[in-house]
Amino acid sequence: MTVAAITADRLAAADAHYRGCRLCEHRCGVDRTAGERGPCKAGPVARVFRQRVEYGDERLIAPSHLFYLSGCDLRCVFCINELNAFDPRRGDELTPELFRAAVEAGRPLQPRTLQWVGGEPTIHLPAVLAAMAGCPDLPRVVWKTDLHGTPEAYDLLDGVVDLYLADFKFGNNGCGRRIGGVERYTDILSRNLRLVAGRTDLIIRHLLLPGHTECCYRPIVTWLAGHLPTVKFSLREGYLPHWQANHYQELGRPLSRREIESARRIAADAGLHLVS
Amino acid sequence: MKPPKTRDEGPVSEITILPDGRVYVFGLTRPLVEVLAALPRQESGWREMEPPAGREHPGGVVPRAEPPP
Ligand code: SF4
Repeated sequence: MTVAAITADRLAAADAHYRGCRLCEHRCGVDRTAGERGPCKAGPVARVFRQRVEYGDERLIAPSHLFYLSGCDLRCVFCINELNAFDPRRGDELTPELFRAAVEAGRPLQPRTLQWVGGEPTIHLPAVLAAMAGCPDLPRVVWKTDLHGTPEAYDLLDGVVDLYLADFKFGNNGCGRRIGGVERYTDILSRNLRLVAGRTDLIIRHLLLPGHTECCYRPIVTWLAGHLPTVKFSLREGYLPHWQANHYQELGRPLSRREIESARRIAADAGLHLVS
Repeated sequence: MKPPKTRDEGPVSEITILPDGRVYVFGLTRPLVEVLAALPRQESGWREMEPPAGREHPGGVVPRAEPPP
């Protein structure tokens, strides 16, 4: 990441989204500075509900200093961060001062990467760029994203982000609608994956969901094998029912051993490049 | 216009009404459909809200597995 890429022009272009927001594919166009709110409910202030150095990410990026921003453009019914993810009023205001102090406090733990996570950081992109602009000496920057942003938003991250850690959650638009809360999920994801894959380092994560092997996992693996066969693929097997998951019959239980083994086999048979 | 069929799975509904009158809904439930159906709207108004086309399975509704394009 180079702070030099965060030019005044780029900051101004990012800031313009707060007055007519098209940062995510809801493309609602609201003026967040005037108090209008889109479905993400975010205003012009990003808030950090947690920040700390963590060790549980993929070996390529851990240890990582994670900055969790509240607010999201999706509504995954199994979200591990629950209300912190969906209520953008939670947490402390992200300012350049708060960010710099937190980065300095984390340095003794020697994080290899700095990671923006949510909720969804893309909906707060202007505030994030402004925070990083004043901080020249950062580790590699990881953008942990649902990849439901617009190409305009990802253009603003070009040259700023060193690695996208992108969730590919659902393998069909129906599941994206039913348990992710968004339309045209796979259409948007497949477009954005191709977009960011050509730009910088990329790890695609999939959180294996109980009961979704055939409708979601297998189509995702098939698509990746066909379109991004060498991409790094991280299969997350630690699903537990969070948030509203217990109201969705198939999601109200942990994964079975058989589901996990079958998923590993499917990825191996497809020749995907698994990372852990 | 008939409102879409819904299956009340989630316990939470979230509505956002934009200044220009667009309505976004997460977690559409039958009572909410009835309220929204009473509002004047354009024919395309249910686009955000259509239920998944799916088949039944013991775990609930499993939408059609369309491979990503
Ligand atoms: S980020 Fe929020 S305000 Fe911006 S387009 Fe998406 S839903 Fe609308």
